[in-house]
Amino acid sequence: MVNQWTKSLMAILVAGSIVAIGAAVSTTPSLVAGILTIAVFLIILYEMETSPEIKFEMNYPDKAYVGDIINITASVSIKRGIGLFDILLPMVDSFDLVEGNNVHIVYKGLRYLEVKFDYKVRAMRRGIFQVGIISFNYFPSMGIINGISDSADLKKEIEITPKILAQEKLRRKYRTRVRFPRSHVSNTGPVSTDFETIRQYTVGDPYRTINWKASARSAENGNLLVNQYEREGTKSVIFLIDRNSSTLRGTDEENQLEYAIQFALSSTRMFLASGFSVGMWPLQSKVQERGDYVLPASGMENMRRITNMLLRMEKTVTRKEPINLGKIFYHSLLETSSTVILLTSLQAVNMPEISEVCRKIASYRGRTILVDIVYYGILMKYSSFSSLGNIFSRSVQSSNWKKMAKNIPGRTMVVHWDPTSQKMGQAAGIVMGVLR
Amino acid sequence: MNRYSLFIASFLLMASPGFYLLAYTTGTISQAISLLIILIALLISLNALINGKHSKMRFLVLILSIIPLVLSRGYLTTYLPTPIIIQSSNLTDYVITIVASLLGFLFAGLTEAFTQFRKVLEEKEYEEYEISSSLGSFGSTVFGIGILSFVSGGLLYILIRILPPLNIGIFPAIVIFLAVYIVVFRFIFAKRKLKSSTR
Repeated sequence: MVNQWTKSLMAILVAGSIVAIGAAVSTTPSLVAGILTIAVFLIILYEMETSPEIKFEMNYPDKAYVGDIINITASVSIKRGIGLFDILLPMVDSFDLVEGNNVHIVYKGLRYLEVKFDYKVRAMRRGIFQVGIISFNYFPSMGIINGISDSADLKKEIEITPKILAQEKLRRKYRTRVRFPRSHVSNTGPVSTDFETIRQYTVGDPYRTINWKASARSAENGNLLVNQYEREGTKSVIFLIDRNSSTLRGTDEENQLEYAIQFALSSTRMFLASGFSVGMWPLQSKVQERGDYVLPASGMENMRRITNMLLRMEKTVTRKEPINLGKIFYHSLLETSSTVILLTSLQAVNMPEISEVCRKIASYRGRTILVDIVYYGILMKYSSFSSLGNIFSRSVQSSNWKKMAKNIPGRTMVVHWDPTSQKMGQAAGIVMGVLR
Repeated sequence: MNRYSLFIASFLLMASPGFYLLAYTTGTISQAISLLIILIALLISLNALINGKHSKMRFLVLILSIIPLVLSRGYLTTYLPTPIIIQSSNLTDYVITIVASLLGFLFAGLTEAFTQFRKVLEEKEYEEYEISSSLGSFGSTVFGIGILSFVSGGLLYILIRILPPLNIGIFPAIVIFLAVYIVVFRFIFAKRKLKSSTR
């Protein structure tokens, strides 16, 4: 387009020259009016086609949840210059355009131009996205001068957080479905005298905790009720998130890693609200650096740190070296006696290294709850045999689980979670039950 | 303004010397030239409208329009027995058609650009109303500038004719010409590289 315009300039000059030669040969001075017409035309456009001064303003919320529709408003004002402006407003791969358009063409004439554009996008994936880079091309009206391609960075970000789905469900008290181990998985201090709740008697409860009056009141049911007291000290949980290629079945927006992040974020909120200390580590080969992990701590400040870490978490290339969680991880494990919640997707490929991680945690007196995010359901969702998805998924699952169970070391509890058929709250409830 | 209006304007203006010759002259040569001018002007305008490609035939229209003038008066008629196509009494009217043809030449370029812009924008799948609106404004603005230039050119010529001639020697004239030439070229090169300022 720009080359064409430069040719146009040459053509205008050649035309002027032809008329000038004609005027000279025919000795017709009135033809000078033609040359003057061309000269005035060129002078006007030269004066108009100057460097444009462009001002952009963008308005949209700083934070949103996955699945939310975000309304983006852009205001563009252009001073000086005359020509077509091709404006490319910010758009991220993980956003889906719902309404309007982010690409516009406007013509800036002789007057100052101010235009507003609106478009709506749906956030498809969590993360922190740069939504402030606006690109534009300027094509001067008569192409007497060359056009410009440039961009402006408003340095604006939008934080897309996964929806915290499990939180409401986890506010209820969950009871473990397993009888063993009977002791609490997380190592906490001794039982205090602070009353927590009344619950049904279970095997192993001390007799002195039986609430006889409450049991008598509910004698019709024939159940014994016991007082439960708060334990001293803070329970501690460390999340380990596997972000290897084996956790990326499905799409960029829906895969095991995304479900793991959603699960971790929801559970973190719930644990912190319940007074737990929560830490977060990614499973990776290289030695962990400060900033790669979040040390176990209580309070909502840690929620912010964990959220930041999870929003920036991306996949890693296939690990070639063994997993190295670093000295700090094992040190905090020993110090806090945390329960480790390992979020992964168990497969034949990663089974040996996951087993090794669980074994090493056990050697540091830690217990692991391995949340296996089952991927068959996700795969089936995106295959053409979706109707057979559940049947196929369950048959393959059970045979694989039996094989893999042999490799699971002691002090490790496995919770299988198929996010396509089982709600996150249910899975979180099972984990919570094991923890209590 | 849409591209069809530009097409009509560029064709009528470019072919105006041909229409003039067809209406006011009787010779075979002048009639042949007039038909040729009209035909080429039509082809150029259609090419600009449909293909949006740069056509070198545009210069041919200008050359063909000037030929009757060159054959009728000036240096050539002194040395060669050329047929007089344009009478001296009709000279001013014919010169106006040539200047109009020059304006048509500019509008043909505008039509080419218009069509080419439209093709590119349609390929990029912009909204139809945005394409029409922006190109409409583009066409109107440049068309307006063209008309303004045409009127200004005419007025400037009249002003030059009214003003008394300067009695300066050949040497000062060359110095003034060089000074103007350098200033204009510096101005052109300063603008050649544009840089935008964004905020």
